[in-house]
Amino acid sequence: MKNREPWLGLLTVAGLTAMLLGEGLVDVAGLAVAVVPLAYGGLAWRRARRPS
Amino acid sequence: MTAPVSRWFRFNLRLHRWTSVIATLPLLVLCLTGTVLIFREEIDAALGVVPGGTGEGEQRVAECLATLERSFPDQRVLSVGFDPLNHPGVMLGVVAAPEDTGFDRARLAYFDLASGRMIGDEDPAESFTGVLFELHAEWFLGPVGRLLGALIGLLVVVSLVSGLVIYAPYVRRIAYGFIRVGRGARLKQLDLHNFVGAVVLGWAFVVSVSGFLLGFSTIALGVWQVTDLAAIRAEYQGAAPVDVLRPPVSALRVIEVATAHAQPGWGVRSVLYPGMDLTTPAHYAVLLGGSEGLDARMIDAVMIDAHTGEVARDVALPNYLHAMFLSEPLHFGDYGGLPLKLLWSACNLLTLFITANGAWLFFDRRRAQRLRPGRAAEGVGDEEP
Repeated sequence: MKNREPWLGLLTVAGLTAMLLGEGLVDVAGLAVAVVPLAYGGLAWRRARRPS
Repeated sequence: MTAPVSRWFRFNLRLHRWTSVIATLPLLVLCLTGTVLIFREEIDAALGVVPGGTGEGEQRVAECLATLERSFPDQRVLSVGFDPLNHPGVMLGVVAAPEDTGFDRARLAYFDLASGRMIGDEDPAESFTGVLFELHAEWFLGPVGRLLGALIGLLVVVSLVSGLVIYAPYVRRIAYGFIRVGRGARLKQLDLHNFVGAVVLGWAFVVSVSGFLLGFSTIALGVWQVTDLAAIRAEYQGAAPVDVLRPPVSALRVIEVATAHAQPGWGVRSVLYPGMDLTTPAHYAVLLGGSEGLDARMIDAVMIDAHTGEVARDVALPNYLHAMFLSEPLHFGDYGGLPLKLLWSACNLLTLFITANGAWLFFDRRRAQRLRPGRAAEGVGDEEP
């Protein structure tokens, strides 16, 4: 994954498109996929701030 | 030490800097107005811009149509509309002077479907969010402003793609999420720019591509009017025009016929009256929409003879218009309820941040170059310690 983090944005594109096409569970799954880059970024940021 | 860099990298670095700096000011305005517009329905509801219906129950469309005609006796009706997803229980009526054939000088009025009474006539374009929307979508310049918006969208797409190319060499020695603090403001801001940019890249790509497409919406509708619609109008050239103030077949009958003709789950969203730019002198045009998922964002059209009340033809809308319909939700994030609106707001604010911080990086670099003109500052290593 190192240096390839922006490609996680494809998950956002896929998730948002799935939400547009579907309803109900597809909506929930699409949203979960779409927020992966934000969630992963948040985790990476917390990990990087932790004193080693 | 400056690392050797390829011409491809240098090209993308310059492309990223200049497309970004040109788009900075408009993008700041778009992010700020966009953050408010995400919650347009909620703000409009709180301000009472579009009044709400009084309840579910029987839909008194006939009473609403009669009230509409009684309320504006000297005007012609251009269209009536229904939006069960966002404004359930409300009918929108649009009227204008009898000689008008378009919406430019139209008046709007809202009717309660449960009681048939008129419940408001404020023009949403003059509300707080209406003015913000005009700034966001048209820069107060009309159709030309929409094209300007498309140009800004294109600049942002180029900036994002070139940013993706230059990302890896910049961050190869830094862990993802690590921000170098205490080593100068420039390194800190650069790390923040790269990190936050990587986080919002996918979202920013979706919003800028859809914004680019929406910039062409006026042109797309115009192209459809002079091609497909012109062909339909030519086909019915011989048909006797109807009295636009009192068409022989009522809009209520047209709604009944169109609803029976629609595919299951679809319903009437708009009825455009005969003698308009978007209809023929002898036909109503009815826009039908679905109620769930993708169908809720798509539109079918059917033309109904205003003399006989029969379906004259289905109108297949071209793919470029369907692309416009799909771009709108992908741009405004209004198709997934509050959770999606919150995601849109977060990404919007993060984009606002990297836009401002990117501009700071650009001008700080130029300031540093002025102070130290001999310094090579084009390679990857110029930002490294």
